[in-house]
Amino acid sequence: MHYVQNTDTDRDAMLATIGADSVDELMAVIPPDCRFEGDLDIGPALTEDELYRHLKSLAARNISADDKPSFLGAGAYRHFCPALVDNLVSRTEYWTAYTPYQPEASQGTLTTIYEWQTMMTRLTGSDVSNASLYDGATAVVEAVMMALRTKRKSDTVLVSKGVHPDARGCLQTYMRSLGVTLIEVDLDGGRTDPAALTAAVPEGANVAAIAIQSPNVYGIVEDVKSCCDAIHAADALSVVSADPVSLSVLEAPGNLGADMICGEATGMGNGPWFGGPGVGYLCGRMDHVRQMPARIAGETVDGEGRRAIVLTFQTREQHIRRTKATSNICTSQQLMALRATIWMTLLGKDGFAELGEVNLSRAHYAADAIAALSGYELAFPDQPFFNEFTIRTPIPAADVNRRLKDDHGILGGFDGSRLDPADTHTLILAVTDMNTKSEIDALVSALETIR
Amino acid sequence: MTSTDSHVGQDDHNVAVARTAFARADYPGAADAEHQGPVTIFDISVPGRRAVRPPPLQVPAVDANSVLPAGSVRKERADLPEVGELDAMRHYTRLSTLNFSIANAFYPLGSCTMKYNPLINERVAGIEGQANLHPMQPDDECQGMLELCWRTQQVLIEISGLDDVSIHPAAGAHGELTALMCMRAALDDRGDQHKMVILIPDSAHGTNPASCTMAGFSTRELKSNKSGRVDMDDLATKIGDGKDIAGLMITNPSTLGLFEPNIKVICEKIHEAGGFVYMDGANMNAIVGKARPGDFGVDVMHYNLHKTFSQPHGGGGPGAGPIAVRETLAPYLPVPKIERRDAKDGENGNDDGHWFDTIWSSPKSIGRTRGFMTNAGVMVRSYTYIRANGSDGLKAVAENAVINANYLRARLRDVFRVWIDEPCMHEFVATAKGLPNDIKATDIAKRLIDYGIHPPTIYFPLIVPEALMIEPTETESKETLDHFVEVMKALRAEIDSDPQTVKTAPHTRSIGRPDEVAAVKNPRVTA
Ligand SMILES: Cc1ncc(COP(=O)(O)O)c(C=O)c1O
Repeated sequence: MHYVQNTDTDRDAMLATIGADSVDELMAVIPPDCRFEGDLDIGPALTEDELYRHLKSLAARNISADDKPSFLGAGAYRHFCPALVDNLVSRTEYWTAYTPYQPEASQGTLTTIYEWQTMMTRLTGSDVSNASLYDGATAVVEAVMMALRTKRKSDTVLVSKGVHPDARGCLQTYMRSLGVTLIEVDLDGGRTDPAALTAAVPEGANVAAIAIQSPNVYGIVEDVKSCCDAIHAADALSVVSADPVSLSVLEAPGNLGADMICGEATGMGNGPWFGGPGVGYLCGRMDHVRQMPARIAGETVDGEGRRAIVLTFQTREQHIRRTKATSNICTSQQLMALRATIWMTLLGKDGFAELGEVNLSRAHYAADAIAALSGYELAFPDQPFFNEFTIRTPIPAADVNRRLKDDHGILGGFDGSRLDPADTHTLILAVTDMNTKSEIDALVSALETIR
Repeated sequence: MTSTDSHVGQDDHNVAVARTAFARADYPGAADAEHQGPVTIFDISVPGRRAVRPPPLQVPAVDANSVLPAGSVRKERADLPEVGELDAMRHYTRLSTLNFSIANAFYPLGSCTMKYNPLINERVAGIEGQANLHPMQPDDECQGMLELCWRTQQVLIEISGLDDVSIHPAAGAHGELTALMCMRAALDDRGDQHKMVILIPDSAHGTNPASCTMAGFSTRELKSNKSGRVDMDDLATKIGDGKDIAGLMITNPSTLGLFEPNIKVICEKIHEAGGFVYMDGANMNAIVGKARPGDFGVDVMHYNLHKTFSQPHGGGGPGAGPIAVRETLAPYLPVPKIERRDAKDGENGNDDGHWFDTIWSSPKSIGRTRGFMTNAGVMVRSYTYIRANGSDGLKAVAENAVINANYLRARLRDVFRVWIDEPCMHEFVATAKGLPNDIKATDIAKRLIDYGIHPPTIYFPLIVPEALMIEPTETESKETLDHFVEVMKALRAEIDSDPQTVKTAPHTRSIGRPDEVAAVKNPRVTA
């Protein structure tokens, strides 16, 4: 099966117009020694019906939060998504269009980008947002690279170990490429110690940025203000990665001194999808806008003074600036940003705040109940959290997860040993608005039996 | 037919009426009856109005101020829109109608392969067990997804004629960067730290040089000769003694829609200099199943799954840019990776008795280049598309992409100048240079919008002045192509008879040409 509409008659007529005897004659622009004459070994062509059955049989071999309660967060959180999001995003005018290069033919997409930017700046307390980045991990890297460009001659970047391990992994890879020194700063009792950030700056280093994440990888709400103050005292720019859903309850990082705010917005109307496609975001200050990567939509007027939305500050971008572009990014994750935009619209000002309260309340309900179990305790009892927290388990966390699944049909949390191999008895649990009270109660009763 | 809104031969009065009608139809919700450009959701926001409710509390309410330090708690609710569900629905429905898309218009946007996006892809992406699969779940809970990703890897390896694939990259540019990092690691590994230069033809896409910078390379530009191919003398000069050559990034077929006839020799010369050949595979649609980059000497390439393999473009993503590599580069690919093996006792293997493992680290890997592993939702769609086509289907894709492009070239060559008028592959580049009345490529693009056709890519490649890059793709019918030709003829006649209408186009959209300079001078990047 394929999707070509040309009939043999069409093809003959077209070849005649072209002045070619056959398709082979046209394909002969490929030199003979470059051609592939065989059959691709990719399996037989399948009909729609066969494809559906095949894909369904593959999907049936997954066990997901569709079937079982799940308390996994670790950078990919599930949240309620209104039915209307799916309906609107399924409009072909959105999903079959491309990058809005021609504003007169793309005011739909452009306006939704402009709305997204507005919402993201309001959540984060910033001046400007870009249209989207690949994901939360690369968003941290892009924020740091933006800081490197802003602070010319800088050679060093610091990152707290509270930042998601994938983002730190990406930072390592990218900074190595750029020849920038990357220093990881240890946590103190699960949280970033502002003083440790400054203390970790090497003598004589010219630091571009110091990156933290709040809530951090253990779920702890960092003291963003003190961290940003410390970062500024080290003459560096502050990069704060934040789950945007947490900003329903938590203060906007921009109001606490963050220069660049970034992260993963997949929780807003997009599923975890085995890690992608998600959507990265990046917000910052207007005086840094020329160093910002990726598309930015802006408002202007047409010849008759009507509002028009366009892609703006394009001289930053690869198609114009080439080697000197702020980033190589071209295609990004626009449809995911659109889902997030409609999601934020439908929850709205009050609904978004209420959703935050549900997360906060249910997570605290769960944490209190688990901490009361014998053998279990909160790993960081004095640290504030939003919808994710860390517990100490009486037996290795890997065994807890296994027994939760095998004996109770519950998908457990994120095993702390994946962050620190020595941390065998640590489990990080996310409790969101998708975990009902009865799911939480079931988790607590199950843990009670697991020791 | 894709020609929904043809305005051929419309006079000024009709244009004016059409515009007013369009404006009214599109903006019944505008506060002002006079059309003022697109309405944003903030314009229709009313304090206290609500759409959907989040899930209920169910547990005792926790006061944020009692569990969080004072400075950490948000003082004011974020000023998100306040609208009802119906108005939200109308707003986003209406906005959607302001877009051109493949579903409502011919979209010959060169280099972007705007082919039909089959709906079976969307249906299978909706199957349960995928969207709510968490990337940190253990392998035994993700066997279906791991197998799907592994199978996608395998078909991409086969189509490339190379040895291994990484499905990490989220888009073509990300694939370029990932590949360049692998090249750097391989060069360093063999003591070639001094090899710092990547050769790039002047016809290359902007992401190529931008990726080089991010990967720490410098670039040296290769001149194209008069027929748009790599100038072999210039190549020899730029390679020089080869000492600093890390590699070449070449787009094949090129951005002019031409297959590089010397590609094999070019690859050999780069190899002699000790460099790697990177192929930008944005144009794989022209050669899929007909030529394999691995067979003609390429060491590493990226695919754009959102071009060749029908992942919808989404208004600017999501896409995916998997890279295929030769054995020499395979050890450096990012982690994690997926491997297949025989299922052990106690493991519930698939029907063939196989099991799929996530491999988290590998000694020579460049490490991580993204969060988690892949744009899995894209893999599902592209895998489905490849399996729908099979080997013969993919060959038909390439052949018909080439027939359709050559047909347009043959029919348009008397209307607009084709820059290099030779048999092309999936696209060709025309030029607006030398047209009367100072008509530019932009003018043609904007006027095409009035005729209900999405403009071609303009001003790219940079080596063609006033470029109009036209890629019809294989899924368009002859009737649509004929209609496009008629429109282009009418447009060409207008350039002589009524240039002012062309220069001030479009006239039928909700807005006219925006003032892009003002957007930079007085930036407004939020509502
Ligand atoms: C020739 C060429 N190379 C590279 C790219 C970059 O691909 P992506 O937009 O997927 O990052 C594009 C696409 O826009 C392209 O046309």
